[in-house]
Amino acid sequence: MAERLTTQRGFWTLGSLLPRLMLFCFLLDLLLRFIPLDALTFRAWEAVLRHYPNVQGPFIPNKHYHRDDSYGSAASIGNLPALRRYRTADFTTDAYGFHDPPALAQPNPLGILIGDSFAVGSELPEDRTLTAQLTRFSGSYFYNAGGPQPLRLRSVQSVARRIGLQRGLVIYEFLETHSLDKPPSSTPDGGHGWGQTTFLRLLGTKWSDRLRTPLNELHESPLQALSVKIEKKLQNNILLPNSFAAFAVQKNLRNGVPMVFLPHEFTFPADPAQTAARWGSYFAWYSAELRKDGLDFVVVIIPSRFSIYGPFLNPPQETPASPAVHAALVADLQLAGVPVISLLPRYTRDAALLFPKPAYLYYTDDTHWNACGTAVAASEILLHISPDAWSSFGRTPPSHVPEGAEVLNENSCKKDGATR
Amino acid sequence: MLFNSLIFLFVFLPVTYVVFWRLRSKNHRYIWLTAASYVFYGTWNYKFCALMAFSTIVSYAAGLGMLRSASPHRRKLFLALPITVDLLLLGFFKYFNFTLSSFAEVSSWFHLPIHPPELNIILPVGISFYTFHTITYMVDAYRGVITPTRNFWEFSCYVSLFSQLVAGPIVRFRQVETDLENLDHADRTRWLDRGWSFFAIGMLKKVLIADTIAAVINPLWNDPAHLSTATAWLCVLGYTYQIYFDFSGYSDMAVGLGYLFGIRLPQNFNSPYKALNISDFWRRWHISLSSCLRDYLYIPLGGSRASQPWLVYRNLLITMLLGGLWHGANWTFVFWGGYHGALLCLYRLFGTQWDRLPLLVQRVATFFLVTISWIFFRAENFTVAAAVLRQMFSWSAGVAPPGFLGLLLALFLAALVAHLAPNTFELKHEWKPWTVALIGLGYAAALVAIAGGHPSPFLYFQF
Repeated sequence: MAERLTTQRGFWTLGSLLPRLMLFCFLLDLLLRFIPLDALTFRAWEAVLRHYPNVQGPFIPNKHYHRDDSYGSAASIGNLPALRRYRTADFTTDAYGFHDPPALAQPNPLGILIGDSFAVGSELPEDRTLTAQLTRFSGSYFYNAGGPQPLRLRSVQSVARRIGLQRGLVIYEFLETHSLDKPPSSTPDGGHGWGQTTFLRLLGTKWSDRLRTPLNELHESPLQALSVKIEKKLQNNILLPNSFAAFAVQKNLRNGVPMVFLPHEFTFPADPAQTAARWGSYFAWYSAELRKDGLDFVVVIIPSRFSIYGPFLNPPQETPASPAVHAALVADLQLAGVPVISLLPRYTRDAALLFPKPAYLYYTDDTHWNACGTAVAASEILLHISPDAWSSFGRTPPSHVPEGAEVLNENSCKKDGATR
Repeated sequence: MLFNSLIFLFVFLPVTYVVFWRLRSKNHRYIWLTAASYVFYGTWNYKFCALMAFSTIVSYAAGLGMLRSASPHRRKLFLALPITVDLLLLGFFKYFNFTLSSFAEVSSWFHLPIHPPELNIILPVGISFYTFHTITYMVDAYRGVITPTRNFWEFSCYVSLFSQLVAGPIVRFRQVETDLENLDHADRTRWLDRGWSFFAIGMLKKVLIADTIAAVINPLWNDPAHLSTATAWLCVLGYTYQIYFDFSGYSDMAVGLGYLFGIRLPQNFNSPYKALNISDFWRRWHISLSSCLRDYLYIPLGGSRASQPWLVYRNLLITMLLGGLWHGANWTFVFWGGYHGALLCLYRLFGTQWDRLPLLVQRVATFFLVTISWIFFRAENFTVAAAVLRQMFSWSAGVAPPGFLGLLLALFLAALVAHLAPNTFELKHEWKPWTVALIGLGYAAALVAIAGGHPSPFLYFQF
């Protein structure tokens, strides 16, 4: 009895309890990292992304994510529950870790789409991603190889070989605000910093692959995600001010609808000509390398949401930097002989036509395009492919590509909220 | 690296702690603590580790020089030279741009437009603190108060010890000399509970009280001209408690960490908001700084035993003005120091009458005077300070700020602790199981707050 009391006294001291508490938290955190994140996420991205992919694609292979009450990342980042637009999220990956639902896959693909989260379309219904819309309008299958960053050249070549694409098109989705970034070096892929890359290479393929699995598991902390959730609940502006609001900017459209932006959406290069020249030479190299493999290359420049909806804000905000960026990029790429499509003119026109409905090309609570945005983009891309190009791919051109009002009247572009 | 960050709590501290107690020899422990402290410091900016190492080597060499030399001239040289080097470094990194811009400002008053170049100087975190460590070491060695150590690792451990490296308390060598000397005989369990108790209380003060207050009032300070009268008062009162709980929380954590490694660090706060007068306040607030200013500046200037009464006031003012400037390169800090200097002079003049007031009146009046001083300490410039004062003392209505409920709760708790509860050095740190459980719960809540948000830096990191 006396011994038990001593033990009890020993435990109920701070010198004993607090280190144990920390050890418990540490071990719990470690264990929870091996459990899927799905339950703690509001959308697919965090649940499916692998930071150290050991397959070709950036996502967990053969994964299906489903959530009925998903909402936009801008509303989440700014902790603005009132501005969430709830929608159903489905995200299915193929065996190689790309967002290509096997149910939608077809043999004999015509092209590969590479790019960032816009290309992935994780917030869109799976049959309304850009590749799905391209496939729907053209009748030829396009493979979605989007990821957090556009694939490096070597990976694109490898994907092309794997899916049996010998004559076809590689579409590079390029968001205008990415012109601020430095182009990746013209070398085979890395994906991580040089230190990590070197380390993983030194390990050799076998051990590097073995190491990537635990690294992926350990990367995200569910306990930390849970803490953030608790913190966001407490920061309701009554008990505590919402400090997360600083990471998002709420603006109202002139019809009174709120739109949540992220600060980077307002950032444009100070010298569009200089940034365009940098990217121009990168794309010229990329295009030339793909041509050696018999693949055509086209760059699609997407305007940011602010570029399109700045003039619709209350008060209106002009975005002269955006046309300058597009013009400089188009001029430089054309000079380098790289086919380029700027979506700015079409988006500007269609956004104005949709606004009275009201309907939009982007989500109001997320930086990304919605199903209507991808439909318009797919139509614009296909309209730019010449009949000669179709025959060089060994295909017949689609009998009809919807354009103009036809696209804007279809289901994808009905009243706001149509993306569910 | 911050004490209230996950990397510190779950990686740095456990690794440093376990390896430290596995080592047996004194030198190994010095070396390990030095290495760990440099890692701790280097995570902020590794380039400035060289600056700290340079300052350490210079001061250590000066100490050795004094030890080996009997000549008064040489000893003076060993004192003056490294102190000059240290002060030049501090002056360059902390005050260079400030001096140039002040010079330009003054010259513009005389219609002599000068546009000095503004250098892109990064202020090394903690430079004000470790410079004080090395200077007090050399002065004490010169005065014969301490015998300079021959052991380089012991000295480098003293200068760079991570627990008090970046925000104090300012530890004099003589205060930790015995514990450093006996580091190989330190008993791991002797101060374990006390150390964790200090650390946990400091964490709760910082994360649950100071950070909650800061979350509400920081946005308000950005736009003081539009504050309502009530919000302006809440803002100032909030900062008064925020700075106390932030800085004393850090000091408690530092003391707690010291105990965990067998090194007792001195008390830095002794319930300053219970002070009965401004002189009493300065015996209770940032004790390690105020005692350094007293011993290394005020007394050498002549202190209160100066030949002429006006010289005492001069000494007080100089000491407090420089004390203000030490906090940062901004005239608002100088004003804050001058304000306190003036209050100390006034207390010296009218202290007898002040002391006859009822104790509660003395306490409330002192708290009010100190609260007003924090406006100048917090404000980025005099325009902001004037705007806050104007809003406080002229009526304007307004709505409650976001997070008002949390602010009221935090202020209530802060006031209870600051004015009525014993401070961490008055506590016995022998807790009943239910108190241990309660502190454990609070600590867990603090961990959730840390994991859920970005760790907020301690206010005194900038000084």
